[in-house]
Amino acid sequence: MTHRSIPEAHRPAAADASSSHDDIVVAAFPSSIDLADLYGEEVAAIAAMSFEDRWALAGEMAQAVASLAALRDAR
Amino acid sequence: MRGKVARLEAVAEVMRALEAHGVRSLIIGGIASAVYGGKSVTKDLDLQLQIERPDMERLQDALSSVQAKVIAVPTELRWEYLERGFWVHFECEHPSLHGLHLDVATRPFGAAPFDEMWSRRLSRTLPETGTQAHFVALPDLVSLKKTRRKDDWATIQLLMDLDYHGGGDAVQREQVRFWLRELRSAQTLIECVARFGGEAIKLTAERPLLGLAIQADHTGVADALDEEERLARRADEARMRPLLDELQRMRHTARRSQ
Repeated sequence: MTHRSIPEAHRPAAADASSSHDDIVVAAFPSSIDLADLYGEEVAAIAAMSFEDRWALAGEMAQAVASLAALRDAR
Repeated sequence: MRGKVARLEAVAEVMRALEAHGVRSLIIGGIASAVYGGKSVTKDLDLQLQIERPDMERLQDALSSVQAKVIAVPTELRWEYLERGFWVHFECEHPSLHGLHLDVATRPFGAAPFDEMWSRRLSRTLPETGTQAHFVALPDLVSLKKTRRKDDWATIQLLMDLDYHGGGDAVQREQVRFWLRELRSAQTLIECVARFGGEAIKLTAERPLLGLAIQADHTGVADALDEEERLARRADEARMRPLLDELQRMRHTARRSQ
């Protein structure tokens, strides 16, 4: 995992990032977190998926686990 | 491919059965994690139910309609078990449900009152079935995942990083506070604190490790996150111990009676 350094000017003591509308907080700078760096390409790909695709993937994974369990039980 | 579709249809069928009998349910556990982008691998459908003692007959009827049979201890569905926080585990024997495992609880540890969780839920129409399903909101899922199991903490870390990653640059205050309270990877937390410094400072008394994040002390934050997790896992273990011991006694009794 890589550790990005936060620019000194962006540290809270130097810059209070909260601003604007009462219920909205505006970030001091855009996020540079890279999910692929943190967790790999597979997770980054899942993050980009729609609900429907994630649901289908959950079904595939559930079926794979069920099949493995059935194989184990058959032994 | 057929297996995948069949399993998803089974989930939808259980949801329909519960709804037909007037039983409200929230999908929690691994399937909810997967919907939020987690890598959870599960074949169980975990449901938190809104049930009180007088509703037990309707629940029994709903479960009978999908031929749900208890497969573990507690060996029967009783209000007393649900009320005390036990999970009851079923296998659905109806041919169209392909042996779906169904775990139900009404008051799992870590859960907020059902009405509150219901008001925050994520409702979606399940693809290919047209069935409406209700998923626990991410903040509630995070609360439920704060267990004694290390895997659950890895899941929280991932789900929080995914949620943070999906957020924009202008965000609802409550969303920012949720991140600051719950993010669990040092790198992401330090960045979040730097981006939303004013909110971070306000929450430092509540979560002292934010002070280390403000200083961008990566090692300090990582150590403090480990300690936070260690204490919470120990608290959950202590909280669960009486139930775990009782489950163990139930298993012994069930074995002796076989």
